[in-house]
Amino acid sequence: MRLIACLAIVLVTFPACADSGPRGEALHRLGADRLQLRFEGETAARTWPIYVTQAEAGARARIHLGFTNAISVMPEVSLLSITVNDVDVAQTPIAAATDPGALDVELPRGLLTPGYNSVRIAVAQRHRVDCSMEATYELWTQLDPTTSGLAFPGVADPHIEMLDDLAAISPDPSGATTIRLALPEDADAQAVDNAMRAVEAVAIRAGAQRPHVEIVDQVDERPGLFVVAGQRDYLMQHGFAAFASGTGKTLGIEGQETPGRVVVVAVGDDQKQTADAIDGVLPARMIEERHENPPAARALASQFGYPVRGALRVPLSELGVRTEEFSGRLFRAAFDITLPGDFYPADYDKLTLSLTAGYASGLSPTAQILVRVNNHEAGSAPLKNPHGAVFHDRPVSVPLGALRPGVNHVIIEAQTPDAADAACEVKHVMDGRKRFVLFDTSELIMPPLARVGRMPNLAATLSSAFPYLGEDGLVFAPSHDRRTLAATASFLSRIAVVAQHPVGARFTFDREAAQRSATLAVGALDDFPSAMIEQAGVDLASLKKLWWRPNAADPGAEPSRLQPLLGSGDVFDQWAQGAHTSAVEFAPRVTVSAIYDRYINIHRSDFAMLRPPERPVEAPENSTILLAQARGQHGAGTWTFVIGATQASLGRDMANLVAPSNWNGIEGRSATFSPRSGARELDEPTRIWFIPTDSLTPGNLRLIAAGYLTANLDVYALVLLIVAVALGFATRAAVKVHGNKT
Amino acid sequence: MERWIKKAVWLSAGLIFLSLATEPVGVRSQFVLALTMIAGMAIIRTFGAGGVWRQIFLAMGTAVVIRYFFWRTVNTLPPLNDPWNFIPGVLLYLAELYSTVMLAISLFVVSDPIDRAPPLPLAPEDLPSVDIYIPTYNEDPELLAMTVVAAADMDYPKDKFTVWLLDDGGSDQKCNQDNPKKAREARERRIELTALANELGAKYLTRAKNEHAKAGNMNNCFKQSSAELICVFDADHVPVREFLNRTVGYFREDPKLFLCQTPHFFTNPDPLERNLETFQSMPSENEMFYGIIQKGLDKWNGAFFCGSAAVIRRSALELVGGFSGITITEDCETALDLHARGWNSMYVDRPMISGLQPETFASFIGQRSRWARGMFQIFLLKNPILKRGLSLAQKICYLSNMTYWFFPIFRLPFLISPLLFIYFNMQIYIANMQEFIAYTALYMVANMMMQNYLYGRVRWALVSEVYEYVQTIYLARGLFSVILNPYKPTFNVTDKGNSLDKDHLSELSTPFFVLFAVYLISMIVCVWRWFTEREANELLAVVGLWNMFNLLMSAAALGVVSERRTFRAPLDRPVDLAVGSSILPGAVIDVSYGGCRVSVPADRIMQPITEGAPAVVDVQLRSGAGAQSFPVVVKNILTRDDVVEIGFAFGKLRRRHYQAIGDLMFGEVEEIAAFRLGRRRRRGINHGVAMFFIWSFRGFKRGATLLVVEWEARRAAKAKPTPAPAPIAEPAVAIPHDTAPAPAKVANG
Repeated sequence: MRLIACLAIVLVTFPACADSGPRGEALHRLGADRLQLRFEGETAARTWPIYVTQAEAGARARIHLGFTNAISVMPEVSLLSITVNDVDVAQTPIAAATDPGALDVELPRGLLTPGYNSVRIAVAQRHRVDCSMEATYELWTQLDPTTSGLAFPGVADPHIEMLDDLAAISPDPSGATTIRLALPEDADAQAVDNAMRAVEAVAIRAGAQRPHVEIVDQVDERPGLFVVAGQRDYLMQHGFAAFASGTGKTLGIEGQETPGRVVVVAVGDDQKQTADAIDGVLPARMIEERHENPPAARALASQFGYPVRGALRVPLSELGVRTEEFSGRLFRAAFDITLPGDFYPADYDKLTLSLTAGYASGLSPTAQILVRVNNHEAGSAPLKNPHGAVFHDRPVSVPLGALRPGVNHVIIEAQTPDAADAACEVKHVMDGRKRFVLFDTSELIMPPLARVGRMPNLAATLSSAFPYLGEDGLVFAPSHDRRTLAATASFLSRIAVVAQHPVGARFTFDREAAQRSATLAVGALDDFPSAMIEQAGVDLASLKKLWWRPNAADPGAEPSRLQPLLGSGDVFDQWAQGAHTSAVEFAPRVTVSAIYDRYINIHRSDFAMLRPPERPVEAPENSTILLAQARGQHGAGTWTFVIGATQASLGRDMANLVAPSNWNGIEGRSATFSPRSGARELDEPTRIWFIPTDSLTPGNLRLIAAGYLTANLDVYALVLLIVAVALGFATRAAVKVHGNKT
Repeated sequence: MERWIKKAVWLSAGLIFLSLATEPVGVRSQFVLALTMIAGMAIIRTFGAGGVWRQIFLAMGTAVVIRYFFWRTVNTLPPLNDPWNFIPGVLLYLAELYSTVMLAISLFVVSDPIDRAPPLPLAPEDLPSVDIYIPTYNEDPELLAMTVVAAADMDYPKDKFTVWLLDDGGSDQKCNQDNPKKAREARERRIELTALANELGAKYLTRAKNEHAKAGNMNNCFKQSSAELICVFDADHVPVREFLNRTVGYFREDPKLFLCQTPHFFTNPDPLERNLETFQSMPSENEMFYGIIQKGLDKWNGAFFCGSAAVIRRSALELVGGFSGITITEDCETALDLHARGWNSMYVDRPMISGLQPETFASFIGQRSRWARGMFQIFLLKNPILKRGLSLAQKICYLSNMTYWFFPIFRLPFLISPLLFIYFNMQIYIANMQEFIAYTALYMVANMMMQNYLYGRVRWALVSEVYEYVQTIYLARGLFSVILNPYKPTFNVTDKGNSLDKDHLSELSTPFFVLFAVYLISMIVCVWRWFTEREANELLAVVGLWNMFNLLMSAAALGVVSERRTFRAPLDRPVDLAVGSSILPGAVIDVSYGGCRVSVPADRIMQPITEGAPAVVDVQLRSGAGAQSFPVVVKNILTRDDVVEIGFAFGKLRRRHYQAIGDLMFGEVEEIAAFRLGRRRRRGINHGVAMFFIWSFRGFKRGATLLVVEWEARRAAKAKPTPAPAPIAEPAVAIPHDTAPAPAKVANG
């Protein structure tokens, strides 16, 4: 039974300029960037796992939210609510259209437990004057990333006593966690390798959603999170003697004599000890096995999307969806699932959402449930009965081709307009007649997945380090430049955090070696050998033209601080695009091409033989980072290139690239990042190759073949045609030797 | 060795084919695949390529069928927790499964139909002795006479064969039955047929009790006769002279041969052919069986005994104690027993008998009901799958013959399903429009192309639908009764040889009007829904098309149950007519078992001709054996413009007279074959579909017209105190006889 321990509606106006929490208080921010703190539409919710130290759990705790909202949000019926560990703790009207609003409430003692806790924030928003479905897109509430979070008035800064407590380190207002990695100038590859692994491990342990690595050649007195890792002798010789004294394997947290400073030390006498020490930074148990309180465990499991490894049947409650009665016209429930890096996305089967839901009488005939996956409409079910209905386990299917390795954002959307919406009288809105309910007993049913690495696939690499999981792969940096190495470390750390394990590939500076194996390379354009860039399928000429003209990528500009991610203009564009795709439902246009797309939907690119040859990747205007994946020369494996315009821009822009909102948009064969519009996919691969992973059982082979034949329509038709002809001959031959003859 | 290698190669090719075809590829792959296969099939069909292309064509079609069925099985069934949709959904699925299994079986059966070379001629002393059985129950003596005389006249040494007229209508049981009128009729029948047999050179035989119907009747003779071979002709199956010479030789070639079956050829249209007027242009329904399937069965040593027009080895039959009689289809049962004992059968595709089929829709249904129930009986009581001694191929062959007759049960879901959606919004087939196009629609195209490729010469596209639909309602009832009691069905003799003298609705027509009304109303509801609810459009469109098909089919069925007056094309065979003291040149324009009609130029008639006057018709025999005359009596006279049509009843006929009449009625074997071949033009799917539409519109028109006419007649009859049968159509003109129809064009060649 869910206990409502405390339900307080507290309205406190707060200065909006605060850069950090109230002075003298430890503030655990939600660990999200601005976009993730934006709640749009009539209903929206998000859940965060937030780590609390032993000391904090025993102290007084407050939850604080600062927010603004769209002017069209109707305060009388719009609510912002907070749930901690499944206990509703506060609710406030959303009425901060003109002045920033704030919610500040003390949590009941004992509600927070040491370790991870679940914090869920949900909004219900209604439009003041417009009851159309389109108008729901105007509704938003923006939490202030600077001031929102858990505050502990009695506790100054979180006291990091053990490695677990690293997770208590609060990200900065942009959601970034800065990790200072100790690495001497001109470090050799082995030293860099150790350092990279250590920083990845720390990022995982700290739950750094947006890891930002800086390379330092000394551990100074600044507050912050430092990492010192490597072989003892090497560190002793290169100025880190303070943390490398003693003998044997050393793993621990030091440096807290300086307030706010945490130094993670992982040192060993030889390489083996060092590696052991570094591995010791990693959490001992997988997320699934940690014994958090149940809501926290759920939140933690879904932090990077609920992991789906194969055939699975799971209630939506496990994915963070709650039973919700809904009185508006555009209901949304969203969750993320994460698929393995060797998941083969193609239409050989369907993901099914088995929905248990109900709807009221009198809805418009256009009422329906839509399922959107990664912002593409993927399945639908009409809500036709004019008298309303309650249904159990109604399947809505989504072809697996709509999914991808890594994080997939799934939205269950119910469009439930009714006749009175046209008039949109205030009374009608205030009445809040329940129109729709989705039960959290609804299930997600995943069929067996084809398991093979289908490359190129940046999403697979960025979400699971595939195919650089093993030590046979290499991470290559073309320069010893500190900014390059820092960018590499940030990049690897972000992969490690999402994948929940470090990237296995070894670090190298050796170009020859890099060209011979499966390599993940991060560097500036100038530093890469030209031939290597071209072999990676990148149009070098266009890149030079774009990045070598004067002031092109602003190489001189020093990053003073992390930039805000997306401007509101971009958000608007994004939503406008979303609105456009769904406009097809609002007013179907009947044209030949619309009919063709709806019922046939076959294009040139579906035919292996008609597919245009792969063109070299060209970076678009304004881009500063180019990501490209190609098949290495001479069977060298998969090459993944992250190319920055300059060393400086690479360092600066990597900090933005690793933000979740950008990171999750990267997929396909090549992608680009520009400071103005973030990261996006450039093109889908036309030439693919496979990397076998799972054991090639007949069942898996069958699914892989189905995936391939689905993506290459002509190949399937041709192969089956040939087999049919062969069968014809075989039948003829067999029939002629059996039975009576003429 | 070679056999095993080829079998292994085939198995592996088949396995690869099957695994590829059941790859769970997406809907767009399916679309491209199905179109590719259909295009390939169209190319093969267009160029008419033979040889191995036949097997390639069928493999391509099979790919589409397998893909459809795989998808249908995995993706389209309603969820189990929704029984209101799941149960009808599964029933519909089973119906589709049935037709797919039937297709698979038939692909095996007709994988390589064979033609038999004529038997080697035998020296006269080598010719085996033959007993010819002509079992009868209630057929008219005139009809029997024609069969008996043709059998007796067969080109075979007279001392080597005996014709047996096996009468079950004059048995002791019938003669001594309690009903005095019927008992008298039976006694009269026995006397008349005995005389007839004596006259025509046959032996009359009857028995004490009518046990085991036709099988018992023949077994009675089997005990009393002894010839090496037994040849069976139904009472209305008139053989050609070469029949024995074309068949008995095979029994010398293969000592394990127990059966030589020949096709049944019908000289009159069945009700569908007559009422839809297709007899002259469309191959008869049975030609698919005799023209292709029997040849396919023969390939697998599964040629099937069809009860008549066949020769059987006595020694084989003795092993199983004569003809089997547990079920009502004794023919199939007998052959099944002998096949299981390792005996061989064969089929000769040469039409050598002229038979009759039921004239009225009611008797047609009666006949089919017996076949269906009989086959179902054997399936239940002597299932070939469990029968030891049969090869796998033979088991499949027998299954193909028996399971075909389950169609009335499996057709029902197709008739009902669209209504469930139109009225109750039940979704028993889960698919979206894109899938309907890529899977269902293209599957239907490929399926029709396969059927058309295999059977296009002998079966127009979609006519099977009409045939099966008109039988479904009555046969389904029969099949259900067999399920309840497999031993119950009794043999009833199909009523043949009645001609219809006016247009009227069949007494079985009511359900067809009801169904037509249901589909018509559903169509209206469907269109209404289409315009009032916008969101269910796609599904509604699919269901609407389906219902439209059912509506058209039910309209065509109205045409089938609107019985047409028997009409025969004029024969126009020149004869000399001796009447009174003059000899007139005339032409026989029509002939039947009761009499004939002769036209004479009006200006040649010098003396008045009176009704009841005796006359003689003299006809040149086509065999070249000179002229032969037969006595007639004037029944009626009709003057049309410059010709006078005189209707005659036959006088007292002797054996030689029957030869002349038979010569008029039945064609030579070459003429029959040519007529049969003339209808077997390869017709495309378009033609079949166009005909389907035409039948539907005409059927609706005729059915509606007759319904109105009969309804008004009934009302008028009610109004008047004395009910008088209302003349409905133009009364038959001057047909002097009301019994058997007879071949028309065929005999004239």
